[in-house]
Amino acid sequence: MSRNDKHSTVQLSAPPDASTPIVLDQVSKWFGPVVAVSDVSFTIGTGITALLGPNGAGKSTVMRLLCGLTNPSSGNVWVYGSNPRTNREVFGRIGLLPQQETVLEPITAHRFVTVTAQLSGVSAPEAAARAAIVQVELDPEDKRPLAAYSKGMRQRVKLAAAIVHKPSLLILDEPLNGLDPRQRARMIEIFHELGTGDRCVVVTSHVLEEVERFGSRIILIAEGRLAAEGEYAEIRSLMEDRPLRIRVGTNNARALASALVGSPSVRSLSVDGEDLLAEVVDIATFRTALPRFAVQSGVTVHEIIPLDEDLESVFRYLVSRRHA
Amino acid sequence: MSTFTSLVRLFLRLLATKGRLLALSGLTIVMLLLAFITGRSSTPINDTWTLFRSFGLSGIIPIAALVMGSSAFGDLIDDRTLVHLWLRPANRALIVAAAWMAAVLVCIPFTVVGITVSLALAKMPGGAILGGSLSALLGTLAYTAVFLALGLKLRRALPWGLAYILIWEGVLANAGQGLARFALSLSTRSVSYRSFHNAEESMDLKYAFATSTGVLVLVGATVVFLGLTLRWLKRADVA
Repeated sequence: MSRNDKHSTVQLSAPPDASTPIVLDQVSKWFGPVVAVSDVSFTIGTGITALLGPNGAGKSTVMRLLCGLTNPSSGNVWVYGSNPRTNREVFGRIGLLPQQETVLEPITAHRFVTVTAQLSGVSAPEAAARAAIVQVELDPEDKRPLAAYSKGMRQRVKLAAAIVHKPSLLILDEPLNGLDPRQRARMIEIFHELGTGDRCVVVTSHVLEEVERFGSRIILIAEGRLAAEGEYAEIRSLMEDRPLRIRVGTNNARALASALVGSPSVRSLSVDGEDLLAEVVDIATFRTALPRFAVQSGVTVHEIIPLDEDLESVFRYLVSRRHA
Repeated sequence: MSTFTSLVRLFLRLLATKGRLLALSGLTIVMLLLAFITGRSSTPINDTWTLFRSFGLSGIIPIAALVMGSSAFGDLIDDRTLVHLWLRPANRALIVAAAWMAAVLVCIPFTVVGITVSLALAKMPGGAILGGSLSALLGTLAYTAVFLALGLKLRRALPWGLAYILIWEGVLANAGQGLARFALSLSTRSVSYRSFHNAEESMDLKYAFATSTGVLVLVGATVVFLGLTLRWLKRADVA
């Protein structure tokens, strides 16, 4: 896996310099017996970076660690050279759009964003709140309480609160949840606008295709571990190059297995009742070869079922590959 | 508007829900009715003192403080919105002070105003009304600080707080002098006791502090629990 100067695995003994937005150094986090994040190290530079992983992979825990919302059980987290857990000032440089839908329901969007601006030390909080609300295409004069807003509108209000103090590090936890296609497109445009210059934008997602639209670098987390990191195209090809497990429904699995042994497209074979389980390294060649081998051995094939098409299996493979 | 004022307004808006206000209004109305009746009894000062001590100081004040104090941070933790206030560079003391101030402000109409009016309805002498109002105010400040801390520390602060009020403040505090010293209700009673006693010397109070000691304990408890809340907020694991 290639790495660039903006984005690489690190081993640190001292705090990094204050120009690097994020450094995680051998960070683990466990809750009782449950390990949520295990020995994760990476740096994130300016631009957009996606933290990709299936649900429950540990992405949100990593986000909380980055924001100082929780202490790591071991290892160090540095945000602009400071520990976000002990240096409150660094919060002025962080904007977080949390995953949860809830906001402070009884108040208006403008009041909510104004309070967050005041707490961030913005000099003209009401004007800044108004500008941030307009930026996310909502009406700052709307007198309805946030309880009356749709899920998508709340998401945009939270984004307005996250950007009202013009943070240099913007952390967006599943930011496209609950948005319709037009809103998604607009939000992605906003993320691109925010990701320019010296700003660092970190976006979590469990959808690979969503990440592609961010055009970002990717840090892939699975089972609490760093599975892979790199540009989108590299991660994509890594996923496509992995061996796939195929279940072949047949009337004679043993005969078909005997015929397939030695085929260069197959890494391993096993028989499961009437079915043949094949671990395939070259799916195109296997697709061509299978009918031929079936005819040669006089076997009928009923069905061919790929077992690894879900994203979670991809993540599992990448984790096992990295830690093999 | 300053950040502190803005935060107090925000907490007031979050705390003053219809359900809570109605429940506390109901309790206050019952106290006013009972006060009206006791003021017309044959031993009005003794009867009103009993009502004030049991229903006011040991009832409405801790219950109102529990409902509002434990919800100030408790609600934000339950619906995971604390992060919007916490992940900001603002001084945490400002947030704690605003939450406490808002909870106290919502309680005051039911505790201080409610008790003062009920003592007036019971036709108590001016000194007793003044003493009662002072103890209600100090009790509100102290109990709200206690339950503010509890709401930040415990997920189900309401039942825990209720257990504390019923078991600790209600039962153990009357079980012996040693234990009673650790109950806030003894201090609230001590602050107002003398003013009632001046009007009716036959009145008896077990385990009373001096008035000044009662005041000091209540102020001290307020400061200690606000300090604990600040410490816990700084170290909070925020979802």
